[in-house]
Amino acid sequence: MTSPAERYGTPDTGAAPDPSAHVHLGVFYPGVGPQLLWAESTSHTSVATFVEVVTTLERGLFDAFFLGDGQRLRENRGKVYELDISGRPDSITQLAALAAVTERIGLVATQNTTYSYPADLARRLAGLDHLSGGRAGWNIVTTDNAWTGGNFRRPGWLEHERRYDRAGQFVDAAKELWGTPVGTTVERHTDLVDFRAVASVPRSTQGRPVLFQAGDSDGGRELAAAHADVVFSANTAYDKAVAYAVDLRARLRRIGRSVDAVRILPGAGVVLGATRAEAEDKARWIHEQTVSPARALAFFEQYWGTDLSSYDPFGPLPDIEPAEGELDPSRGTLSIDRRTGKHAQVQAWRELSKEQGLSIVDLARQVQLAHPSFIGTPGEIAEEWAHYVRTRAVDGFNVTPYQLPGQLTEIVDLLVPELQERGVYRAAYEGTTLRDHLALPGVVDGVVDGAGGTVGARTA
Amino acid sequence: MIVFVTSTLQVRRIRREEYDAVAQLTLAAYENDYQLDPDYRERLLDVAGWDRDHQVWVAEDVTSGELLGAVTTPGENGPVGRVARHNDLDFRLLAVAPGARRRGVGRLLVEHVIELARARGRARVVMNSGPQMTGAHALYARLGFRRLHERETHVLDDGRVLYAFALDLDGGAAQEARGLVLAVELGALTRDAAGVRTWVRWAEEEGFALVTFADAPASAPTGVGAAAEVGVDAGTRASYAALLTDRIGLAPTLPVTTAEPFHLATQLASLDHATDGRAGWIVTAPDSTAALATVGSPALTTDQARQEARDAVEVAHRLWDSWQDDAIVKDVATGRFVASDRLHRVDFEGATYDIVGPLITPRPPQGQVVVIADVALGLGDAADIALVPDPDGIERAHASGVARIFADLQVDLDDRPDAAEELAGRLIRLAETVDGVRLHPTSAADLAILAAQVLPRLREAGLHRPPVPGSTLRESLGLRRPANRYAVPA
Repeated sequence: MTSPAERYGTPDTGAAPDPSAHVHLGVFYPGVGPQLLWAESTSHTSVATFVEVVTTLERGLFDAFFLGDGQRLRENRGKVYELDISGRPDSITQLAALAAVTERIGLVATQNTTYSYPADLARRLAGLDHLSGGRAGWNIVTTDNAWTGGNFRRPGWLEHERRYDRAGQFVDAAKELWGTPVGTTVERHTDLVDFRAVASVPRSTQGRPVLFQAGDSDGGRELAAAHADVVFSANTAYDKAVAYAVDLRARLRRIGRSVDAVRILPGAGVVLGATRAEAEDKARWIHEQTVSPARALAFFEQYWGTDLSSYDPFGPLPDIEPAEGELDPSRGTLSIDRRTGKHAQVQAWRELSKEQGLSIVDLARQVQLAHPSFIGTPGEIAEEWAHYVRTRAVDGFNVTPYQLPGQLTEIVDLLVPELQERGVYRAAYEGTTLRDHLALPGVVDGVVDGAGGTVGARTA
Repeated sequence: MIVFVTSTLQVRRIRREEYDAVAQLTLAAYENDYQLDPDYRERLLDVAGWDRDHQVWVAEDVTSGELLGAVTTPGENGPVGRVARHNDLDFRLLAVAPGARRRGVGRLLVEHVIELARARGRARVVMNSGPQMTGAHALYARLGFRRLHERETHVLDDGRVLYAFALDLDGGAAQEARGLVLAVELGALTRDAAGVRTWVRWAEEEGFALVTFADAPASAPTGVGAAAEVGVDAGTRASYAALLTDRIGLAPTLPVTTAEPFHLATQLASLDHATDGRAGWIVTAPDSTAALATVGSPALTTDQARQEARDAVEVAHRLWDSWQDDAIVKDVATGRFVASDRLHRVDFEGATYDIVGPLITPRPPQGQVVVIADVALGLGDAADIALVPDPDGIERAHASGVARIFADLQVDLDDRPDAAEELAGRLIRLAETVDGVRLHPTSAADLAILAAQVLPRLREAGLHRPPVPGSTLRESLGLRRPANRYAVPA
């Protein structure tokens, strides 16, 4: 089998190759979605499960543990979607509890800027940062529809196109609140951010929370270039990772930020086996579990717009015509690029399934690709990751687990030692803060060293 | 389980197939003595509901298999009725079939309840009874019960009061006094991580049942020389204490007028999960220009702020019920993780906003987080605890129907040598009129004096009963775990 260097070469990634680079690892627990095999996992509502998870990750010297968020339960055809794990805590609340029983690991909370108040959220995040001794991160997300707004005071107040404008102004305001001495009045009165408050939480050991950003659209990438310390991208395959790194670093240079001021940690699945064949078998099994017969029917129900439960998931596609109209964008279970062109899509699937003799579940497994994963022995994956970071295609990964907590124990016990052996992983925590772990530039007066990207006029 | 046997009678837990028979038996027994209104009649007949939320026991003639009587006692959800306070065990719906009177059935059932109370380490058995139930009253008197006049507050339609009775199990003078649930507001002592670690643990070790975390919006000062007195928000500090403690309740102050109500409900449910059922909520509704400016809104009138408080509490109550306890099914055969018919929209329509629901977080372990507010906020019985800063408020709080009343006391102990003794005396007197106290010590020195001089006096008086490790806050308060408003009984 060829080495990663032979397979991928050493393309220009927008940053100089670094033979002594380290892999930075986080774990992203979304709390919803099909990735987690819930039949195999322990209770996700019990805080004890998460104490075990973060303790294990801290033993494995991980940079961060990362909680997802979403402010409305996902639905399928007007009913709460039943097939995926759901029911999650407020991430800051949960992480503050975990902060008290850990010492080093970073704790990253996903919170949205569309339906939160800037001064209030900035204060809560600063509080987590302060109490954890400088270990907090904020994954900045926006909410893209008024449907989620049904749980808030002003549903749909923000046009979809302006959600990143709001996020930018919001983050600017948060940075000012974090950067000024306690007792200083900060105020903003623009069309999208309006408050008068006082900076109330003392500066944490790391200056301010580390900012994560995940949006892959142009608006998301601009926000990341302007504000993020870490990008949590979806570009995991090597060629995609390189293209993303080149794009992001060009944006950074354009606004005068150092390319080392932002860490790139794409999401990644990990499937380990004693042999490559064993790992591949396991990955196949995981994909089959993930796209189960029930989920396959539910997937096509979204397109047909009708109850398909009477169809055999192992039989042919439904012969009835889908309901008129496009997909209902409200469910939150489909990515946005799948929300138009429904009828052409159904026609294409019909042809594909006829041509290849695919059943409903076969087709669902073919069109719903497996979560991008690294599959192999611990040594193979360590070798692969070493090449990714030394060529600066990425700075590490956010592992999305398929099982809790056992899979993470396996990664810590088997994969981490292989990384350490190759010199691409720390042997001990060197610093105490999340900013230290990520080897990010320090913060002076709330502004990251070398960052010229902080903008936003202060109006009174 | 057979727990009590005489020659031919035994008391045991009801069986599912006996719900109807016991409903009819209870109805027959009560119709003899009461004019039953339709609502009460319906509740009386819901034996399945009583047995789900509490424990229904039956007296059976072992020879014939006939059911002769029944009684309802608390299960894990706290008291059955409203008369019980800390460390009491209560019972309701004692019924003897009209054809089985004078066979000792009633006595047997009450003796069974007394045994349960002893087994559970309770100090007292209490219950309410209608004034016309003279036969039952004679039985209670023979068993040693006395009238509990201070808890006879419920006036019946005919103008008479509902009687209350109590049997003290240990009989000692110390047991005469009621327990006093102790809460403490630690203020600036818990402003940072070390402070939370040190002082919340201190409060737990000293046997406090609840620690509160004061807070206000981070509003810019308006007056000359006004200083902002806020630091890390109360919600985050309370969460930080969750895994450092195992029995003390944690109640952050979360203002409703400067937050999204949906976020508040989520944060409190999450705190309840992180503490395994020890979350409380101090509800406040700031209305000033400076407070509302933190969220870009104009000042509110007092009435508007109170309306915001009522709406936020009502929608939180609904959202906490929006997941039934059994919503997560993890049914591998059908692939369903949750059952969508056990998740409910709340469709709340408030004065200034609507909320659809359900919550993103499963139902809190306590069912409902304990809601605490100053009596002046006017939440009435939507709160579980009314905080009363002066004695005049006690009557108002009683009238509001709130389940528990706490005196809210400023404490300054290190100024005079006899201050501790005075406070102890005051607390002992207060135990006659309130369920608990929240103390506001002003310094660490006050805490040392509290621990050394005040709490021992309360212990001697039998008033200080620390929560048991693993207790929920509701259990420490003697409050039942509420049934879910959306759940359809099986």
